[in-house]
Amino acid sequence: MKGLVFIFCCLAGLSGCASSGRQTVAQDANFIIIKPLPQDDLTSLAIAYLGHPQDASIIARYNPQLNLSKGDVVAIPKRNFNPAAVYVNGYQSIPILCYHQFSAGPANNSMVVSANNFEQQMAYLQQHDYRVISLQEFHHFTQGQQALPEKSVVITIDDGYKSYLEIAYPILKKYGFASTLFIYPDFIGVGSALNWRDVGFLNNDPLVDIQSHSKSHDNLSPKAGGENSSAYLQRLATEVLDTDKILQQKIQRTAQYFAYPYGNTSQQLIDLLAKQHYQLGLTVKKGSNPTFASPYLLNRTMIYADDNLTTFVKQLDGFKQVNLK
Amino acid sequence: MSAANKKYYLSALIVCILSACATVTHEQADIYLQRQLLAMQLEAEEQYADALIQWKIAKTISPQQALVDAEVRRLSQLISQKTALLTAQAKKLTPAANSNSLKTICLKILALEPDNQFAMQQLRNIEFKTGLSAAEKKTAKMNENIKLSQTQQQLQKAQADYNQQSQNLLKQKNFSALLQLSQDYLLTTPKNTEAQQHQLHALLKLAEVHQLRGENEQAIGYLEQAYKLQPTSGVSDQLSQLKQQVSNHYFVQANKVLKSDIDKAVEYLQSSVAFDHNNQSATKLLFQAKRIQQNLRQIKATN
Repeated sequence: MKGLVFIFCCLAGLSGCASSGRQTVAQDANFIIIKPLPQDDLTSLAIAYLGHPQDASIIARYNPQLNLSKGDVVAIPKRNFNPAAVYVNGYQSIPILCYHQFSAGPANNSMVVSANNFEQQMAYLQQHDYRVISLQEFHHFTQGQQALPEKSVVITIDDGYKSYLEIAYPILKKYGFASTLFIYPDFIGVGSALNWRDVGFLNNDPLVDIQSHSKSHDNLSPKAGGENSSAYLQRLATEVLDTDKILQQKIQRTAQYFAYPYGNTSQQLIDLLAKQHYQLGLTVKKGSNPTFASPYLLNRTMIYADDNLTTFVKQLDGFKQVNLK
Repeated sequence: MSAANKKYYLSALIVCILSACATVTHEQADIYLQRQLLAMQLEAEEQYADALIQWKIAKTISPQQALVDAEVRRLSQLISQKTALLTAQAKKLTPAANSNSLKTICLKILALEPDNQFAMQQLRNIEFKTGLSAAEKKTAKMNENIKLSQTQQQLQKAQADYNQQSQNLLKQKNFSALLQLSQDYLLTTPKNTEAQQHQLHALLKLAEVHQLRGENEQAIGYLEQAYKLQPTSGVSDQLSQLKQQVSNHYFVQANKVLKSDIDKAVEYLQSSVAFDHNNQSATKLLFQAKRIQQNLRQIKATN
């Protein structure tokens, strides 16, 4: 009976006939056609039907030439009709940003982003209607399971410096932005790194996703001159599988995403990750990622200390213009 | 509640909800028409996938319209035909030779048919190859940098060793060894200015030492090497003076044996002129001595 009540609630919610005051003109398995309220805009409809204000652009795609002030009805998709996110004028491509360290004051090296700059960057994302998505959502996007607005971006932070918790995390929390933290266990508890208690705390936050960045942050491409195949495979196994064990033991987490140290990878490492439970592998090759991106060779764009807002914004290119008629 | 009852109950609920929504059905014809026009416009603009979506929206609005199904079928067939043509083009291309062309064709396929698995897989393959190639290039460059760094470390060590040894040799005033050390070091690092200076310094000092010992010809040898390295007027003057001295020395020696040993005298005079082309006395005497030598040889030959 409880199950039936749940189904009824869902259907009532989707029909929207009375619950939100919006009239449902028609619906089937593909669309719900609604007559918006006079005060509605695409954002309020996106919140009501798709759950995120930034998804207004998804509704816009299905309703070209829409004029809400004239009382046009709106078609809300119930599924993703464009799993490839490829259109006649180009294709969607999601940027994945990569940070390392943060500083309270001005940054003293290129890998450290000041709190002030980071705050400005996050404020920009919010003010310009970017949807900060998790890597899981990104993964669903690449599998065609989830439509995303053009202004979508993933935030990742490498290594596990304490400055993530002290500086970046509170800012991300303020904006409600998801982030993925790639840690390598050999660093945790050492010097300027987080300790396992910090990692445990972050792991309990649904906005934070803890993932693997190898065990020791060794360069995982074959070594120059003289590393034989079996020694190399053994080194890879240690770096990948030992980290899995440690993450499982320390925070009861199975990593699904792997950020290559220095962005370096190889066919052997990709094969190993694919054989295990890993779904995505991330490099530091600058650029964004379309649905057809190779899942174990994803591009990531590093954000440096000297990136000002103008250069930061240039990294957010979420749509590649190409004439595909 | 049995499964059959559950089904019945659920269907009844859906009917209730849809009935409630039926209050706006009088507008559906207009809305349908709007979507139909939009679909036609998008198709005219070659936005076939978007046009098909509008027909599907039209179907949601008016599921009973027979025209919608016919249009969905017609447009789907048109898309399939276009996709088939592009797929055939894509299959003719070899990925290695035409990855850009293949990518564009596959993107066109996806723009028509966003769930086309063939195009998606081809694009993933291209992305993988491109990505792996970039990763391999990065690794190669990194390894090259490591080698470069190792070479630089070796050079730095060699420089440090050289500095220490050269300072010791300077303190000991062992200029022969300093000359050897600097010349050896310059074989591997020819642009090292410190070693170049050491080499010059050692040559000048060795010339000085030999000159003091009266070994002017050895001194000239070192000075000539020094002049090649640093052709300054100072070295040049020193060299000229020394050569004049040696030239004069041979001129004096020649005069001493001119009457007793004409062959030896010619030899000395040739050396004298060789060291100083401007030594007029030696040149003149060499001419005379050679004539005497020739006369003597003729006399000997006739006797």
